[in-house]
Amino acid sequence: MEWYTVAIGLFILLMLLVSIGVPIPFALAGAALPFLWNIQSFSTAVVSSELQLWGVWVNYILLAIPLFVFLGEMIGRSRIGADLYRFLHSGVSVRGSAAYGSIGACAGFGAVSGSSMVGSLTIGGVALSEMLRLKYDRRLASGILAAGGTLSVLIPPSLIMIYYGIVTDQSIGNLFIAGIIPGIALTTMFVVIVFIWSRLHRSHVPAADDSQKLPKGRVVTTLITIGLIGFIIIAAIYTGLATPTEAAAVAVVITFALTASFGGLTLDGFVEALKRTMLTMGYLGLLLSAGTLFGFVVTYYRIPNELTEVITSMGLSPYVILLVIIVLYILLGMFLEPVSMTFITLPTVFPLIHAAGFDLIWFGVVYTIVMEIAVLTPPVGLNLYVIQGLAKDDVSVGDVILGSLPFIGALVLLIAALLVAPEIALWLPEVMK
Amino acid sequence: MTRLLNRLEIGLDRLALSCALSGGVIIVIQAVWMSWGVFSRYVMNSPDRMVTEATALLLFPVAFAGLGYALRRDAYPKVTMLIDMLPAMVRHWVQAFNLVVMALIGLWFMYVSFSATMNTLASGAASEILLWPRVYFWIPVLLSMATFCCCVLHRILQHLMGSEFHVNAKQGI
Repeated sequence: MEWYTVAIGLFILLMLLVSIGVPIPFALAGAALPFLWNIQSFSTAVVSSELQLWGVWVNYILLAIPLFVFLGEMIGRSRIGADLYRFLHSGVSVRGSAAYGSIGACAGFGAVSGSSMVGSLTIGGVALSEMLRLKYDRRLASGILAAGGTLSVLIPPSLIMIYYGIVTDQSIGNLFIAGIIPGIALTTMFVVIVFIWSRLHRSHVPAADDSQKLPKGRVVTTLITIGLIGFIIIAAIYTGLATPTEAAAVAVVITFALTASFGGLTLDGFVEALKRTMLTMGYLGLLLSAGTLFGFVVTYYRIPNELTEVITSMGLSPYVILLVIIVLYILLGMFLEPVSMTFITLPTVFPLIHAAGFDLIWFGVVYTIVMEIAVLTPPVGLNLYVIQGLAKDDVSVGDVILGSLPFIGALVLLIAALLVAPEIALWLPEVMK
Repeated sequence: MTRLLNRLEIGLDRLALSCALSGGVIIVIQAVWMSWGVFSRYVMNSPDRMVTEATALLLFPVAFAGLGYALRRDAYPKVTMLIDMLPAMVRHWVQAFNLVVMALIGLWFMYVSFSATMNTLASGAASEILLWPRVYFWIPVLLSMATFCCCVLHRILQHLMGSEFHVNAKQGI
């Protein structure tokens, strides 16, 4: 079969299965298997699948995924996130302190968690009701918290960056470091948006904040926990003392010790964190295994290479290629969630980006931002539904979507800034070499 | 029959949860072992030679231990916009078809892990560094795949018989 016949066949079969509601990992395997059986006999395909499953999962780098997921889940079940939020806004005599506090808490939580949804859920779980109680505009309150989760992914550690690093074979440490300055820039942009919003619509942001201050003991334990875990992850990777996987493991152990001692993590919370981690792994286990079979078929027919040759022969400007890819991802992100998109599309797309001359660490940061736009765009915007689910009676999905729009604008602006000045992402990894 | 299916559901829920929690326990072991590895490397100046290889190998059963549990809790992402618009009867059969696709894929992976378990019974060590038999890592994968297949076949029966889904999931089991 010609490569384009297989490419079209794979695409149609995948889209057909996805559109009729087959869960994505099964759709991926369902699209790949007929072509695999066409390439190999049944018995050879069995042996080749055995080898691929073993090859993909006996992987020290991949081990970072369950550890970082578990870390985020454990912190999410302690009161560290809630206390961080209360510390950042209670008793602060600034107009909009609860909104600024939400952004700060999301950024701070981002330094210890790599999941956008966990970030939104943890901070949103306490901040949304608080802001609604203080009479913040419901669109502003829900928009901040839905978008705030994106900070968890850009500020290291980041699960999307780990997936990206695995697929494109880039250094996860470098990706993490490259995300720091864009993460800080995005946090600043979010603060500016809230400031402008509060100036344009003064009634949306109350002046008075009657929240009670967090006891000093809780402030100290919260800051120590967040600071220590964030420091361990970043310092270990910066200095080369430990790999990201080891940093995740050490962070898990220290997080458990701190949150169980001072952070309100109960035995039930710990077990629930384990269950949630295994839920994520159950999905990822099959997704990555199916993705490997899919990748085998795609690579066998040299689809990424052929596609890259066809597109580069068109003589398009690299920026046009990049723009087309970003727009396609934003459109795709309206229907698929980031992890599936990464394992389905990235193996085909990244050779094209590489051939166009873009740095793959830089593209990793751009890609992460695009994936975060995906979780904020309907109809399949995970963060939108997470936040709406926290206050079903007070906030509609429409409110969350409208409230997120200025923050999506900030994400787009950050991509534009990265295009104009790639150093925003690449300077820090270069300095750290 | 419905009562039998519901009792089976409770059993499968427990089985899926046990598999998932076993995987969770392995994650805890990995985290503690790797932390010990870092500690022994820098503080005791005596690197643990097994930790990298062993924890990487232990990831293999973890990767599949949550399959059944994820199915029981409907954690697999799917796009339902199109089928939500279909008439109830058509939707019912499309969902049944989807479950059959899931079962076939599950059976394929179960057969792969069964074949690997048989092949590795006599094939020796899992790696050049550790002499743990490779079959030790395939057996839990086979069990996880078998659990998943039982769960999805049970769900097909439930779907076709029209009995209520996720009785226990709603109760938080």
